[in-house]
Amino acid sequence: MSNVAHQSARETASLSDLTSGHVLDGALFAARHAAHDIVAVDEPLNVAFDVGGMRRGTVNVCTGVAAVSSALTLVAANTRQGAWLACVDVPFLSMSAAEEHGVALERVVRVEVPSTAPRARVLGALIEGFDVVLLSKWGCSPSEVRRLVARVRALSTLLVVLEHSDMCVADTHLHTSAARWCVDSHARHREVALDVSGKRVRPRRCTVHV
Amino acid sequence: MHGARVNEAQPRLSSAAVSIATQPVRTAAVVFPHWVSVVGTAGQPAGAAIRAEEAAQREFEYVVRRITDMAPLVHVHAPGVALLSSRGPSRYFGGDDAMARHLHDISCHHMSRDHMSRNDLAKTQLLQHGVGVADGRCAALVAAHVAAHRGEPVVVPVGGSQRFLAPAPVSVLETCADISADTVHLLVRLGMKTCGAVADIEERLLIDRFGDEGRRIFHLVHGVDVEHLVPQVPPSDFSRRWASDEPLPTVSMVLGHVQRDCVGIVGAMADRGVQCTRMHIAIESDHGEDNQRVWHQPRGFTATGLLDRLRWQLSGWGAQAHAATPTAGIVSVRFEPLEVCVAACTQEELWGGSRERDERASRAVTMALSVHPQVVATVIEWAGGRSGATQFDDIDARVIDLTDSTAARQRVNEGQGAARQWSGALPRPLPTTVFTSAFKVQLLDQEQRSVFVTGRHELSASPVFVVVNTPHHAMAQTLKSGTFTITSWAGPWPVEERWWDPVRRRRLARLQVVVDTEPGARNEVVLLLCAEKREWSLTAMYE
Repeated sequence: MSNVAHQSARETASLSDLTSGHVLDGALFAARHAAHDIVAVDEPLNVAFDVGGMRRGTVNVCTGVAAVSSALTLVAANTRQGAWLACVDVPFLSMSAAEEHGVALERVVRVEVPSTAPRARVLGALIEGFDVVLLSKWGCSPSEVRRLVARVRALSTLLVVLEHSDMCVADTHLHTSAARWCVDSHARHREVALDVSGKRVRPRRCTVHV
Repeated sequence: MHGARVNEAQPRLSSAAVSIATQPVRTAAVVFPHWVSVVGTAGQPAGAAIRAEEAAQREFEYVVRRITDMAPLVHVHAPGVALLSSRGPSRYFGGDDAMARHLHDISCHHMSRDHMSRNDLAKTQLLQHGVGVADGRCAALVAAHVAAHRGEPVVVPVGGSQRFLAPAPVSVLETCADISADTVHLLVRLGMKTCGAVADIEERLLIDRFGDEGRRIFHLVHGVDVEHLVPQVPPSDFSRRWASDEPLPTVSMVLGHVQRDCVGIVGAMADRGVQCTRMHIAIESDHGEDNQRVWHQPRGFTATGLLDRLRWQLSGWGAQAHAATPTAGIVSVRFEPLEVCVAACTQEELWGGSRERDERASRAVTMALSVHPQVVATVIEWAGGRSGATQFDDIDARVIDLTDSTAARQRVNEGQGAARQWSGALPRPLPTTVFTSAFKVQLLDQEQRSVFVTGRHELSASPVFVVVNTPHHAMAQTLKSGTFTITSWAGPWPVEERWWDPVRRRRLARLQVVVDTEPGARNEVVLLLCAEKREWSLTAMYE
């Protein structure tokens, strides 16, 4: 659905609220449902999504040279709107950088899962309770990954993974490459090529500053 | 029916609390001075003092049990000091005098038993014990101490506390009413050596001089000690046990059967205006294996919350890899509240807050932690500093109430603004990946010689290559081991930390280098290197 069509459907849905008393038809219900299920994404990565943001209940993969920055940009707007973020096994993630990207740190919980623990069960618990889960790697068997993805979809959780895996086809895969830094007195910004793929988006390649 | 619900104890107060209308609330105290002195002994080694205290507590427990037969609510302050509300027992025995005599007899009985077993202690010392009854707690304790000397119970008449306390030294305020020693000494130095002398002072003057403590002193010496022993339902009255004749093999079956009990416990507590904050859940299998855990919920358990905890405990027990897993179905579940508090009113935040999300996240953290003891969950607190690795501290999420959003904002945003702009902090953008344990790299010039930072914070030569030997697993995607060509660099930036402290002082230089990870395709990564004592290490990366 294009942005314009989506917007008009949403407006129609809100108009129908005013004239309450009739049953919503399927299209309106779908439009309202879809509007509710979109999570805003900060610039510049909002260009990667046709509907203006990520859908809830999806698996988003960030890889490449700017993977961590991309992941932080993806989740930042959502945390500012009250969502809780669980960062699983990312001890190297700088919280100062997360704050710089706009993540609301008061709703961030870092979780470390040792190799001896049943990882899938810990992830399952976090997917159940958190709105957004940032995961460094899957670390589970293919069947466990399938179950976890099913849970992500059922509970409308947003999953962001920093690893590309054959076990799970991502809804959105953002791969960053060909980074060029602008350095003067210090490293200022960079230009990266962003490859967007996945089963829920139109494949494209664009250049962004992250 | 599989299960039979057993209410361990019904709340006892319903009949007792009906009507204690006319009789005033009074307090009875039982004191054993020699045990009190055992606890207060100064100059002993710490271990010996603790052992003596434990022994005294053990001995005193016998007396307390006998008193509990007569009145269920007994406050044990310390070994040798017990207090109880005299209203119920006094009505039962026919007056305070009779009740005090009965308490005295209980203590005497213990004395004779104790004396038989401890011939080595002086008889006169052992016989010292006193029972006092008065309107307030302080007067009752003083009366008990007086009774210990007299060898017979002392009952202060109703309304006679002030007259009774008047000749008593001011120091009783310290020993019997927890008034600070400094205040008591000051009263003595001001010339007021007895409670009667203090009672002559106006309340206003006492409050002016001693604040809230002055008001308490005034009430104490006038015998209007307001701290009465109010009977409360002990937490264990809400404990419940579900038992089943037939072992239940699955978690969902157990939950289905126990659900009504959870609702019952929470409902019973809500009727009393309290909620449970700490619950002990004990599960037993048909083969006698048991699993116990104490769960804590600072905001009080709901029925769903209790069921959640039971589910986590059951699934955690069944999933353990070692031999501790149950070998048979579950036959009994016991809930025992360990801590209850007055039910607080919780209200949805008007704007900017989403309580339901906070609670969901809090439950998820508790659940994730219950899966395995080594799972660690932390929240973030601003700590300050120049390095990205130290600016935020991790705090164990178990000790934090995750639903308290105000505290969370304060924790993270503390010092926001000018206070965060540390001199020598990194310029923005900040590195996204920081390595807590920095690892060594080599910085080489065109001739493959090491580059170092001079005393004037200048590079000895232009860096051309950086050699990464042991890449961190965190950077495996971006940077493999090998030699990388530096396309540009910025710095070095000197950092001097704690120059005044010879042990913790640090002198280092930071350098941003841009390396090309794919020479043909030009894919650049910025590394933050740190030179300290002529060695370079990789501390952060811009991913």
